[in-house]
Amino acid sequence: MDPPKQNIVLGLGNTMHGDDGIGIWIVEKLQHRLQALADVWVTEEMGLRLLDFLSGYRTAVIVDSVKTEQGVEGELHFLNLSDFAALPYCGCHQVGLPEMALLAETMGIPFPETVHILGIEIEDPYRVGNTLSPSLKKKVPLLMQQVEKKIERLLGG
Amino acid sequence: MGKRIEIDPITRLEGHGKIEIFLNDKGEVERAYLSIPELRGFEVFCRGKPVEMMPQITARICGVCPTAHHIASAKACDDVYEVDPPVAAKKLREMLYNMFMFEDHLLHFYILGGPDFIVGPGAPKEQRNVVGVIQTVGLDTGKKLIAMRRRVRELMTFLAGKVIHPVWALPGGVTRGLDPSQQQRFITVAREAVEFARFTLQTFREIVLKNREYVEFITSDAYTHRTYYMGLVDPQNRVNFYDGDIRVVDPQGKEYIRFPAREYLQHLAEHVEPWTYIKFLYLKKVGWKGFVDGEASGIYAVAPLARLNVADGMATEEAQAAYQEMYQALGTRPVHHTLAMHWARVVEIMYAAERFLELAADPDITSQRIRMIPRTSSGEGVGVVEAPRGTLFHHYWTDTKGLIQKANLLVATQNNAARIAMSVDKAARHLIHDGKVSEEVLNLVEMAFRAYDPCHACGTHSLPGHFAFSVRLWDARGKVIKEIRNGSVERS
Repeated sequence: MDPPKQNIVLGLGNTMHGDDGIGIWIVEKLQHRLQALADVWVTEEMGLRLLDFLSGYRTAVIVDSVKTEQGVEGELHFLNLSDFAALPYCGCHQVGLPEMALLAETMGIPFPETVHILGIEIEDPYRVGNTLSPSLKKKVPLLMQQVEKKIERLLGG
Repeated sequence: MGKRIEIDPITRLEGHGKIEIFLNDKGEVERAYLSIPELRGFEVFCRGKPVEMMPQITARICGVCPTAHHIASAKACDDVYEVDPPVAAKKLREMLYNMFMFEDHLLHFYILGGPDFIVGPGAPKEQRNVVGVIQTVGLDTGKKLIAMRRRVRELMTFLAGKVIHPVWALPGGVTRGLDPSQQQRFITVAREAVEFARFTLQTFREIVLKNREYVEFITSDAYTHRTYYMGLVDPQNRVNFYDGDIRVVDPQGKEYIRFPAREYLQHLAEHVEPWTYIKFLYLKKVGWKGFVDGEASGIYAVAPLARLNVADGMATEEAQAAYQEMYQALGTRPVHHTLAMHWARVVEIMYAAERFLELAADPDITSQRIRMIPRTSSGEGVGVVEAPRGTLFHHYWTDTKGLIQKANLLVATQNNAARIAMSVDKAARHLIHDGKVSEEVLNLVEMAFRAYDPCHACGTHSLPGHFAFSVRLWDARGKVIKEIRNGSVERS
């Protein structure tokens, strides 16, 4: 078995679904600045397919969009994998992050010991379009600063 | 104390998936509805885009079946530009497509549908998950599965670029051929795929067919509908995922109609209901008669069981044997039992692996004549493939410069929508009585739609990454008496 690699920063989302792609927008823009701390990737894949990205790393930071009950657009949420309960059964097409971690654990697949999740609050994940909404776009510079600072704190030592 | 956050898929706008079950005064089911999200604004977004960009654009709409959209779109572009790709290009596309079908079906069989039929519908809730599946099939099988899918996906990436963003098929062919020095790599993995498909068939026999409870479920009336079926067939009426004519059989299994994809609008129509965004497709000439079975109702089904029902057989040897085994065991053709979909999916896993091997070993596959340059444009094109979840149509209209004026996508789940709605309703009526309902019973209702492997991923995939879904039970006075949601998270 290969020795574990250190850190990965993974930007997730679907850039064809407008604001749903915010995780990818932010991580792509920070790619060069974060390379000293981690391998930096973005992907529009989901579910079990993310195992190919995460497997073998010691620590992962995932940047993705999130829709919460009282959240304000552009708000940054700091979460851990344990904040998400695995479904009692896989009732739908995708296997989510919690189920993937459970599967990896069950099968002994190398999976990060720590998964930090930076969730960026969005208003509408259903709009088709390859641009961010004007209101979220205005918040990108601030979000970049916040995400970079948080990742430096998490992975910087 | 930290801030309280609730991540609740139910709050994610109006488009989340839900089953609504309405009870009457006696606690019996009056009606059950399934509603799923709709993709908004896609046609507007496409307008004005060069048509040759559509294979890339549409592949990115869906994180679950990008390859299906990519190839259907490329075929629609071929049609727009009136160009017939060279033999090697068609074989390469079909090989990639069978690799995709193989890995996607494996995912459903072992991981997504597995909790229902590998672990079993009656198993305790805490076992009906991926861990329960792995415990039942064994850790080694789970590891083999992950490794097999990874090897196939690595080759798909090698051939066509990132699986999620294939930049490969284009009007008249593909951008990259298969170098003869790489052919053996594909043959080797294809042989492993055939071996794994054999193993999967055996696993199905050993674990699923010996699960008496599940076999009884397969043939129970709660999960049975006598409808029309639709799917692609080759000239010998055998299943083909990549190309052929559309064949429709009636509930007795007789051919009702056979037509080229370009004629789909003559044969299919859409029905709208006030309680859901989805448009229900039906056979235009039979007509919409409501959510009812039978020859007089235009409702039809697609996906693995429908594909096998419309075909006279499979084009590869071991898949044909598996096909015969299924129909002999179930005793009728067509098979109308929704839960037999999982069995049909396993037959297709065998076919996809065998076809992958045939094409990988085909001498034509390494030809470097892989593109026919388009020289004319008809201004309109239709492409069709069999996606894992059923027939997928792409239809584009362009101006003289090849810019999209209008686009119409009919996705597999729309074809199945009416039958899925009936399946949920019927299962609820059979399983819920006297107002008594447990999570186990609601799971049995959900099984009715899970078998179709419905894809809602063209919605979105914000955290936590699973599809937002709820089941709500209403009493006769319009009060919600039970609600189950997935993916809810609370944090303080």
